[in-house]
Amino acid sequence: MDAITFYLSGILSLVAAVVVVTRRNPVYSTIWLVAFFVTISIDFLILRAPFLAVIQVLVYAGAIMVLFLFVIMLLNLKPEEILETVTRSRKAGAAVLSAAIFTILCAAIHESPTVQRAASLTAPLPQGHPLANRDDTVAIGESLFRNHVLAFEISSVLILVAIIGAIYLAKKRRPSSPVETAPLGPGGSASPGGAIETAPAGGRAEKGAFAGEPVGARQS
Amino acid sequence: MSLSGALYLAAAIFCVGVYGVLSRQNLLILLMSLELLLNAVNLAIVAFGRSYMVAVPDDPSGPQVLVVIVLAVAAAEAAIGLSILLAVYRKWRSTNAGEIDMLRG
Amino acid sequence: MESALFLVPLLPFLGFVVLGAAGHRLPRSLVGPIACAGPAVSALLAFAAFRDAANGDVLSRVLGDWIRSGGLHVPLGFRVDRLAGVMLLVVTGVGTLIHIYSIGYMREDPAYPRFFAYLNLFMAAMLVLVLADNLVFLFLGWEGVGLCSYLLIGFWYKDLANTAAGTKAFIVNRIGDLGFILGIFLVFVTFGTFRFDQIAPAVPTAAPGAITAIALLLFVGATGKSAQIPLYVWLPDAMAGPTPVSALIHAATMVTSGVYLLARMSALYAAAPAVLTVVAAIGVFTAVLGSLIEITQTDIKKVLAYSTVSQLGYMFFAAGMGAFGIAVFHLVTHAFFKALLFLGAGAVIHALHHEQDMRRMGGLWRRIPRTASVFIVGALALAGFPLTSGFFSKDAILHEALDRGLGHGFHPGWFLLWLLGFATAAITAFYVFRQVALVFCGEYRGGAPDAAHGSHDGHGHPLAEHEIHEPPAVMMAPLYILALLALVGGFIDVPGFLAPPGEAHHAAIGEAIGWVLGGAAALAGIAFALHVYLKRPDTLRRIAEGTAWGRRFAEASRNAFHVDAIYERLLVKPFLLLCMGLYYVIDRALIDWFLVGGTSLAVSFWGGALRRFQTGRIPTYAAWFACGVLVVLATIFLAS
Repeated sequence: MDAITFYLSGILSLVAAVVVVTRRNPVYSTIWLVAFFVTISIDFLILRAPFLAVIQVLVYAGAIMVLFLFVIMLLNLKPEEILETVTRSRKAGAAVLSAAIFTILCAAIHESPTVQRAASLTAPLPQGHPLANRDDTVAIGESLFRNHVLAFEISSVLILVAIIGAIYLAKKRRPSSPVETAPLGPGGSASPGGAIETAPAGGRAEKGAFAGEPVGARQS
Repeated sequence: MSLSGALYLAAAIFCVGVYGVLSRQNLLILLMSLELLLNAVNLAIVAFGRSYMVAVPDDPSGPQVLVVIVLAVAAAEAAIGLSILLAVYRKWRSTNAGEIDMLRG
Repeated sequence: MESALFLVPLLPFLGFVVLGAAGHRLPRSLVGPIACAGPAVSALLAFAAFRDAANGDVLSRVLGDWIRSGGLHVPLGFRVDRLAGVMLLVVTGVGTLIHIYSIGYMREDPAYPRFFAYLNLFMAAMLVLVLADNLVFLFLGWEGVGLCSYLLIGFWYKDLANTAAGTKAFIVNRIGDLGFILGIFLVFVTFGTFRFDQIAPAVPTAAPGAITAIALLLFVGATGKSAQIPLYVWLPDAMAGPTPVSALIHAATMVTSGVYLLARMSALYAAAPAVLTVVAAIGVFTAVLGSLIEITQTDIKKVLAYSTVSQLGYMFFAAGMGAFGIAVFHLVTHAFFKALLFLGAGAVIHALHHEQDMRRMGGLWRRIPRTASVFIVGALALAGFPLTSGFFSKDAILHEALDRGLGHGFHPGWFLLWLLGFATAAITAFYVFRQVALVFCGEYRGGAPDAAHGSHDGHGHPLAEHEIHEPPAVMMAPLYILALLALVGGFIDVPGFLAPPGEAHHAAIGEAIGWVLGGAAALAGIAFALHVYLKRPDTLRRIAEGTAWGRRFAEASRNAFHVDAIYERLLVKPFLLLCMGLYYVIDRALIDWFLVGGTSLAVSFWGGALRRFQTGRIPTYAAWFACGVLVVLATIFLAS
C-alpha cells in the first residue's frame, strides 16, 4: 500500500516538475510548483517524516510560493515581456547535459554497495527503537537542539541576514538616489561590445509599479 | 519499496531542475527550478534517513534535522533571489536572463 | 738571489701600474725614466741570476699557489736554469735598450705614457713566461704577451687598419693557443703535473702516443706565437705598430717564445722524433717562404718582418734536429741583429718623418752616416758575413743539417733540407743588402715632384734632402750597443753553455767546412745584391717584367703568395657564412620571430579565446556550472 502511494505521488511530482519548467507564463509554473510540493509532502509522509511533510507544505507552499506570487504580481509583466528567445540548440544542449547528469546519478545509485545493502523503506521499526512509540516532532526537536544546535544557530543567523538583505535590496529607491540616476539599461551599458537586443524599455521608464503605488496599479 | 527507487525519483527530479535552470531565460522560472533542485535533494535525504533509521539508531532524526536546515536555507535563498530579481527589474526593465549581461568584470 | 727572483717580472709590472694609472698626469720627462727603471733593474737582477745559473745552480722560488684543486696544482713558481738565464739576459737587456730608444722615438706621440705602460706590461708578461717553472704559469705569460702585442700593434687605434692588424694577430695567435691549451691538458692527463722539473724525468715512462700528441699540440701553439707556417700571417701585418714594438716584440722576444717553449720541453721532444722532423721541415719551409716573399717587398719594415719569419724558421729547423742549444744561440744573435735592424729602420723612418717606402729612399748614407753604419752592421750579421754573430749561429744550424744529410751516410731528406737552408741563406744575404742598397746608396728618390706620394714631414710638404737628420743620442746609444753585440756576439759559446753536461756531439763533417760554405753563400748574396742594385738596376726589372715566369713570380712574391687571400676564401668566408647563417636562423627566426613573437601571439590568442567565457550572461555561466558538476560527478563515480 505504502509503496503504491509512494510511486504514484512520485510520478505526479515528476509530471509537476516537468510542467513547471515548461510553462511560458510564470503564474502557471507557480501553481504547478505548489502541486509539486504537495506530492513531495505525501512522499515525506510515507517515508515516516510527518513533521517534515507538514513543514514542507507550510513553508514551501505556504510562504515561498506566496512570495513568488507577490513578486509576479508586483512585476506585472506584460505578455510580450515574458517572451523568451531560447534557441532550439540551447534547449537540446540543456537536455543533453541534464540527461548526462541523470545517467551518472543513476549509475552511481545502481553501483553503490551502500544502496544495495540498505533496508527497505517500509520496514517496520523494531521494538526498542527510540522512535517506536515516540512523537516524531519531539525527536526532531531534541535532535535539533542537542546534536545540531550549531547548525541551527547558524541557519538562524543566515535567515536574519537574508531578511536584512531582502529588505535592503527590494527597497524602493527615490529618483534622486545614485542608483537610479545612472541611465543604465539595455543598450546603454558601458561594457564594450555589449550589443544586446533592447527590451522595450524606453517608454516604460516611469513604470515604477512598485514605487509605493497601490498594489495592482496598471500602467496607462 | 527499496531505497534505490526513491533515489531514482530524486535524481529524476534533480535533472528536471537542471534542465529548467539551463534552458529557461525567465528569471522567475529559474528560481523555481532551483527550488525543484532543493526539493529533490530533500527527498533523497529523507529516503536515506528512513532507510537507516533501523540500522543506525543513535540519532534517527538526524536526516530530518538536516532537511529542516536545508529548508531554512532554501527559504532564505528564495527570498534573497526574489529581492535581487526586483532590483534587477528596476534596472533593466526586464526579467530576461538573456538581456542582463553585466555580470563580468 | 733566489728570494728576489719574483722582483724581475714585478718591477716592470709596477711600472705598468704607475704609468697606466697616472702616466698622463706626470710630466713627460719623468715618464721615460720610470718606464726604463723597471726593465733596467730587472736586467741587473737577471745578470745576477745568470751568474748563479752559470755556476750550475738552479734557482727556484715559489711564491705560493695559483690553483690548487684536488690533484690540480699550479704554483706561482719561478725557476732559473741556464736556459732561462740566457733568455733572461736577452729579454731584459734588449728590452731595456729598446725602452731607452723609445724615449726618443715616441717623443712626439701624444699617447707617450700609454706606450710605455704597455711596453712595461709586456716586459712583465715576457719575464713571467721565461721564469715560470710550470706550463700553466708559462701560459699566463704567453697570453700576456699576446695581449700586449695586440695592444701595441693597434697602438694608434684611431686608424682602423691598425686595430685590424692587432685583431688579426690576436686571433691567429688564439688558434695556436688552442693547440697549446690542448697540449697542456694532455700533459696533465699523462704526467699529472705541469712542472717542468717533474715532467722531464717522467718522459721515458710515458706512452709514446701521448708524447707525440703533446709535442705536436705544443708545437701548434709555437707556430702561432713564433709565426711559422701556417700561422705566420699576422706578423707582416703587425708592422702597423710603432717600430720599437716591432723590434722588441716581433723580433727579439715574443716571437721567440715558441722556440723557448720547445727548448724548455726538450726532454719531451727528444722522445718524439717524428714530431721533431715535422718541426724541422716546417721551419725550413717557413724560412724559404719568408725569403722568397722578401725579395720584392718595398716597405722597409715588411722586409724585416718577413726576414723575422724566415729566421725563426731557422731556429725551428735547429730545434727540429734536436739541437736546442744551437736554436737558442740563433735566437740570441737574431735578437741582437734584428732588433738593431728594426731600430735602425726606425731611425731612418724617424729621420724621413715617417716615410716607409724604400722606393722613395736612397742615398741616405750621405745624410745619416751613423745610422747607416749601424744598420749595415746589422745587415752583415743577418746575411751571415764571416765572423759576425749571425754567421756563427746560422752556420751552426746549417752545419748540423749537413752533418745529418751527408755526415753519417747519405740521408736524402736531411740533405734536401740543408740545401734549402743553404739556398735561403744566400737569398737572405741578397735581400738584406738589396734593402741596404735601396735605402742608403744611390740617389735620394724622395721629395719627388709628385708631392702626393713623396715623403713629407708633418707639415705636408715634400722632405728635401737637406732636411734629413741623424736621430738623437738617446736613440743612437742603444743602436751602438746592439751593433757591438751583433758583431761579437757570435763568439759566446751559447750551445756549449746550454748543452747538457757530458753530451759530446761528434760531427762527421768538420766545422770549418760549414764556415766556408756559409761564408761563401753570404758573400755571394751580398755581392749579387750590390751588383744588381748599384750597377745594373734594370737587370732584375727586365727579368721580372720580361719573362712570363718572372712576371708571375714577382707578382706572387709581392703579394706574399696570396696566402692571406687563400685563408680568406678557405677559412674566413665559410666561417662568416656560418655566423650569418646562425644569426638568421637562430637569432632572427628562432628567437625573435618564433619565441618572442610566438609567445606574444600565443598569449593574445589564448587571451582572446578564453575571454569568450566571460560573457556576463547568466545562462552561459549556468551552463558551464552544469558542465562542471557533470565532470565532478563523473570523476567521483569513475574513480571509485
